[in-house]
Amino acid sequence: MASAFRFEESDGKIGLLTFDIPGQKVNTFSEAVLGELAEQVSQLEQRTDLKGLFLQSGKPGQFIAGADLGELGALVDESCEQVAKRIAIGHELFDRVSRLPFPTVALIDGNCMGGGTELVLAFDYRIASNSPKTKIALPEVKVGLIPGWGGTQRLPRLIGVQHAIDMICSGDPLTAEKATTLGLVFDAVPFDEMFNEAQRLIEQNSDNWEQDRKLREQPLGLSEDQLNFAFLVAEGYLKGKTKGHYPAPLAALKALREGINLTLEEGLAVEREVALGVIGSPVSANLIGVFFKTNYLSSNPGADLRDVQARDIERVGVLGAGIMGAGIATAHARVGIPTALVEVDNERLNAGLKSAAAVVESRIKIGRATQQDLAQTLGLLSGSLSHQAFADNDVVIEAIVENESVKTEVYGQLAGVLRDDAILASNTSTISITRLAKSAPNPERFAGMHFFSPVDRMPLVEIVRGEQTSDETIATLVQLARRIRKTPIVVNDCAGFLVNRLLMPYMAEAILMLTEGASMDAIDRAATRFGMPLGPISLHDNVGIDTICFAGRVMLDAYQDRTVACPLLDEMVEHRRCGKKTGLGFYSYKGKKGKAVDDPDFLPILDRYRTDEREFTDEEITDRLFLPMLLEAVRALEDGIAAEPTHVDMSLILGVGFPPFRGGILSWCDTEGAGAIIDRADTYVALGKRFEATDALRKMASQGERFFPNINPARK
Amino acid sequence: MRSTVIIGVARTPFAKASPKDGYFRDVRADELSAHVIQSLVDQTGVEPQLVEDVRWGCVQQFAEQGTDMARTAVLLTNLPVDTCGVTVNRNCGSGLQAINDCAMSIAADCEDVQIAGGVEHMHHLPMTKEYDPPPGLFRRNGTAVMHMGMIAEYLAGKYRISRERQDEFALRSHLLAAKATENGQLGNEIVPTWGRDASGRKVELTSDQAIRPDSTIEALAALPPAFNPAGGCVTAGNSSPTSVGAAGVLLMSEDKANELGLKPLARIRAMAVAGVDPAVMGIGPVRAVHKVLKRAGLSLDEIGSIEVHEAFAAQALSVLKLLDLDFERVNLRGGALAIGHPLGASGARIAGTLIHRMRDEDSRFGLATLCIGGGQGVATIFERCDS
Repeated sequence: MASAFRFEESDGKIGLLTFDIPGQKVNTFSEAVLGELAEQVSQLEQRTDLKGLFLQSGKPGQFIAGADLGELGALVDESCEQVAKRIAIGHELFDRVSRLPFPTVALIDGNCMGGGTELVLAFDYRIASNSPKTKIALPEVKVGLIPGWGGTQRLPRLIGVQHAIDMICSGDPLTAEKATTLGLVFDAVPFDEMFNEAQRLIEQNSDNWEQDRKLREQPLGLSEDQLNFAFLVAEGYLKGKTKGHYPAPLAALKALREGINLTLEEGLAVEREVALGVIGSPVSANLIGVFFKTNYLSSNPGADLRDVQARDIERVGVLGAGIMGAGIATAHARVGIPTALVEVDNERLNAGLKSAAAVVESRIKIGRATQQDLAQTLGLLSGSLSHQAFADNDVVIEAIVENESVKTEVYGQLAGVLRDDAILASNTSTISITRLAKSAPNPERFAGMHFFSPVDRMPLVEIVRGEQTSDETIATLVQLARRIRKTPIVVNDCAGFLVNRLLMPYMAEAILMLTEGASMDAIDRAATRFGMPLGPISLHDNVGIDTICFAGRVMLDAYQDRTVACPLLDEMVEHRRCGKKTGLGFYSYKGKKGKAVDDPDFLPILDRYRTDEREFTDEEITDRLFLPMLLEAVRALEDGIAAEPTHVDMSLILGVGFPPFRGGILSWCDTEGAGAIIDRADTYVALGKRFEATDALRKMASQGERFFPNINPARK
Repeated sequence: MRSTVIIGVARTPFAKASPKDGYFRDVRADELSAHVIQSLVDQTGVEPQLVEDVRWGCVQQFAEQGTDMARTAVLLTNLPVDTCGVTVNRNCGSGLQAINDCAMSIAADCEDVQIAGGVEHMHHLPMTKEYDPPPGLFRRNGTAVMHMGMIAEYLAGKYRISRERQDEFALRSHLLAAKATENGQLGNEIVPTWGRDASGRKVELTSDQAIRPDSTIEALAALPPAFNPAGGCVTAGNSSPTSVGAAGVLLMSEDKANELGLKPLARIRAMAVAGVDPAVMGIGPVRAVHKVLKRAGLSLDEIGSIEVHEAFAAQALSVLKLLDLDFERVNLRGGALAIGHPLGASGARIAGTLIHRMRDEDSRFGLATLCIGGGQGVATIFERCDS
């Protein structure tokens, strides 16, 4: 096998080590690569004749991507000793790098992540290329880990306590410019000048590099008040942000706090101890799993389209300028696609165009967009009251009222307007695509394109394949969704498609428990403790009770054997208690700042539907909410609605905010164990078929199989 | 060495820093400053051409408070062009620092007759505007060291100052300030100043805007934490409000006062500054007070009237605890919690209030001290001239 490292020497006795793993797009640290680096270091340790050593990557724009996440994720199944060994290998190696008998400079061009950043921190100096591709980060907390190869100790000794806390506990990357400002790198220079600058740096510091090295081995020296205050504030902030679900940022903070006032050697020992607690933890394995699943989606959206050519899209049309339609049109215009937005009257059209401007304006406020972007977006958005505006469009997305007969009537009108080869997509969230296709101008060029609200923030688009939808149509819509920076997941047609089919049983169960005596607060609290961003009761109010009612009836028709009817919701709609949008729902939103408050007027309505007044435990609420969701996910997978477990997990994470630290609903099943899940579901089976585990799941449990045998779905 | 005496004291009412209903929402900081400077000259009857320099404290020195606003303010008065102006910055201690700087100038046989004070327009130029610290400041400090509310929370935890005691102290401040307004004690410091009342009419204002005579312990207890929503104890009620206002004194050497036949109010006996960890900036006065007492050769027991700056109740109570001070001599006309805290003006306001209190309370010695963001304390001991 060819080596990952190449060593050369220039006349001036400068060693140049090039990291370039053959056959890989990026450099990562697998155990094998670390072994090779160790060999290089062993030889370098003898070279007291060298004046200095530079490290560079042989991959343009990709410095070092960090540790091999596949190996790290697999540690969840390893013993504590194995994990400790893995940490120690990196610690020992980077320690030896930091003691080489000559000054060392890392030449960073492109992504420098995690273990890569920890390696360059063991160097005496760092120079970055000023390319926009250069990003330096310690993103370990984002996959539930902490920097465990010296990062939590070397970084604060270099750039100080606060900036180290910010960088490590957020996991966010620094640009080359910011890294220079903070002193993480000496300077950011053009790529071609990095070598010369490094040489100059070594000459300049020929007398003091050893002293600099010794300084960074000292305690950082915070006073008691400096230490207590800085960490008290940081801890308060992180606790609020992680809500007890993500232990890694707080673990990193602990390593920093307990290590920075010790010598580097003692600090590194603290880091090893803390890292042991998070590396190989289930949360970390799940987050790493989500990382791999996200990557997997980019090459496998849920349909095999390798041999299908997507069509080029130049112009897009959106029918309906309501909240969804306007949001969808804005998403297209924002990436530079000329978009026609059509409504039935001026008032609605103007409201839609106004909300398009509001989306960009809110981004200008937070510095993510400029006035120019606003002008460009609005320039590409053309409003019209006539379907004729769609005449030259490649794709038209219909986002009108959720009513089948209205939709089919409009499709008839569009038939005379759309180009023969145009694709028509419906943003329906519930109506069967196969059925709608019968009224479409061309069923092969018809599909569902289901966006989530608010469109500018929700990353998921369900691409729904009807019975006759062509592969070309699917491939084109997948490409279009990616172009507007969304994550497409292709699913087959069924009532509720994938996301709502799994979400609705959870929503209905919440209402059922409410009528059995569980409080709204207890139900929502159990869900948020599980990790959902919002409890199901509050979600009803946010989405709109009328919308949920409509979807609920569709589910009841389609899955009669296991769907719970919710007459309470019907009565709420009769009283115009449709949730936030009407100011009243389960809660009242009529007070200060539209905050949810209890509404005594709701109790008499609820009382009419009460069947019980019993107490619920947190565990019971959690099980009743999530077991039906999980079992429906299993059925949807068995029915072939979703292609693979990855698509099920990611559609819930991206579409409804299912907690990433649980890896997804099927990963949750893997974590709990299918056997344990079935045992729990069996205790509720008297409540109805929605708690019945499928035969395939029982078989899986009996054979000890998992939905994700490998943490990386690409390695089946 | 020449000693320095205070001849006159003046300030504007302190207003809320509110764009909606702040008294001075459309009055500029330089104009407020000029008004106080002019009033001091008029009130003391000192010949304008005798005033050699104006030292004026201000924290946010840009825009209408920039380009040496002290000189700009002088040019807005009828003082001659010979009167100079320098703007001084020691954050919240600036107003008292300006007074101390004048005393140093007099002691060094430099400029003699001077006006010292300060201003801050915290509505036009908010505290955090353009704040841009160097990364190196946070090598050993958290970024929150310039977040005064978080420091107050930290002090409350460190020195075990309960929410109840903070609220009680804030209530005391409001009730004492309301009483001192009612009986005219605070009015003695204030020169009527043009601004707008809540309804928007232009009026001459004569009292401070943020004092709440009807404040109750129940109302204070009901306020949510302002800086740490999860379990904090520092609220808008037990923190000083952001304010707009200017305050100053006219001072000169004791010899000059004798020569002019003026009756000085007080003499500056000793001055000090001290540094502490930025994370505990609120207790800066403790070290500064120890230093200034030593320089004055006095003990704390000998000081009859004391003004301790109230940035936060938690902070002021920490200072009182560490100095082992009882309430009987401290802030008897209320403090910044009620009156307000226009950053650059507070030091001069405290000195002016103290000097009036020394006369009314028949104290020979008085002590003024402030905490300073960034981790400092400043303190000055005054002595009555007629005692």
